[in-house]
Amino acid sequence: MNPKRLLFTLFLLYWAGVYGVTFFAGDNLKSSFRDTIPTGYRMFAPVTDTNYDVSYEFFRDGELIREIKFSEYIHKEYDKPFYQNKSAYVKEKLYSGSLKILDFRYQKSLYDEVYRNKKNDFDSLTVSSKELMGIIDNLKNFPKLYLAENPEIFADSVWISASRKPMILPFDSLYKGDFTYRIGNKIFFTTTQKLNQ
Amino acid sequence: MKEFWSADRTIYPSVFRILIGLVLLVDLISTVPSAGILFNTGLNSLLSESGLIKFLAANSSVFFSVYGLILIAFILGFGRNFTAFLVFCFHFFMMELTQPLLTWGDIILKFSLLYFAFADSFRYLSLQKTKGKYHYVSKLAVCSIVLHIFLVYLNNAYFKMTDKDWQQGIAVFYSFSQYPSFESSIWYPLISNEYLSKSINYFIILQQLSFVPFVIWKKTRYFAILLSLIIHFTMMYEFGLWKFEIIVMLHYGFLLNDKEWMRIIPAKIWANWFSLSKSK
Repeated sequence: MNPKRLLFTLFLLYWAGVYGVTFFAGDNLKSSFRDTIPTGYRMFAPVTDTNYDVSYEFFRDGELIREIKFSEYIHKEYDKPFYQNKSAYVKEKLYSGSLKILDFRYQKSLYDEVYRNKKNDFDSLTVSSKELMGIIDNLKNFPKLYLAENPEIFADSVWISASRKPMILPFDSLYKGDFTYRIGNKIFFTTTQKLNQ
Repeated sequence: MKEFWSADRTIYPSVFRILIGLVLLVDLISTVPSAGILFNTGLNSLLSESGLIKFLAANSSVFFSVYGLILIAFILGFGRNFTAFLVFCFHFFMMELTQPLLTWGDIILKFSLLYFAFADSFRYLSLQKTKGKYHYVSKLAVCSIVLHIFLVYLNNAYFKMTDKDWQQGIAVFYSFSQYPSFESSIWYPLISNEYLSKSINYFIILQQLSFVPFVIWKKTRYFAILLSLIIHFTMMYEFGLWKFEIIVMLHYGFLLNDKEWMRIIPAKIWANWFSLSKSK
């Protein structure tokens, strides 16, 4: 066979495979090919219909000495010169970027409890799921970074609470499209951390 | 249709090599100050703790230095396709190292860089120029990048058409609402209007759906590309996702052929930088 024709045939077969898997294969098959061929770009926009924030309350000898909201902290980080924006982006992604995954598991466990009469397994997941443990550990890691950036604060523990706030459509404020609205605004995860300074 | 696939695309790969190399280099340099957080398991518990990634994280300064040097060689055109393949490999490792920071731009670029490693991008603007006939493999590599862009658009349009939020016309408001400065931006009063918000929502689906046929059809090609550029510039300004937007916009260059590029860029630039005249 002519090498040009062989190359062209391989090229056609490859792209027929890529488009075929993308549009016709199930999610399991797609995920098995994900690292080797482009099997679909379901760009999740909107990523979420809920806003998140984390509150950090720093204590020394049982007394509250500082309270910060992560959203306010990261706003200030983005206000720094543009060449430092990547640092702000890194902090935002590491310490709050995965909260939607934690909230999704929270919603799912609650949904199963309310509508499927299953035991709410969220608490057990937070100490057994590797994915959730990584997210929670990063919630606990942020106070260490904050204290390193603010050495004048001497705290021995921190109380961490992650909150959710579904976005309200201004043109349809009563819209309750899915379970996230039924749960509403609330603190959905809390934890504490001892700090060694 | 035939005109689109058979036209030569030998000029833009050289431009893409330099521009995408600069994007990756700027991104790499801007990541260096955050290495102390990113690769510190005491501050980042999302870092992979196994195998090669752990090793690279432990030696991040060496990894960053080597990657930076490879990118400079790539931009200058040293090492040709071998360097281009190394850029793909290092970009892949960088993605693994910085998983929580990934954008769709990185994922699109991963496959584009793989195809680009087989393209001849050293004909112009290179210290080690290739000469002679344009290789057939290179033509297929550029066609692969074009098919890849089309896949991105078609799959995205299909996904949006089947998604509840996009079907109801509320996805655009949610997408904008995720960004902290939205309520103080000029977009807030516009997107808060039901008619405008839903119109933009359905217009985006229509634009993504019509992108491929409009680009293939010669008469609507510039319009389709220009419209997409405006949308991505708007997103870059509003969302601040500069890397993702620039990566996507740089891909559009592959949709124009040599003759179209020669029409757009002034003759003096061709003569000085590409060693060819517009009469080619």
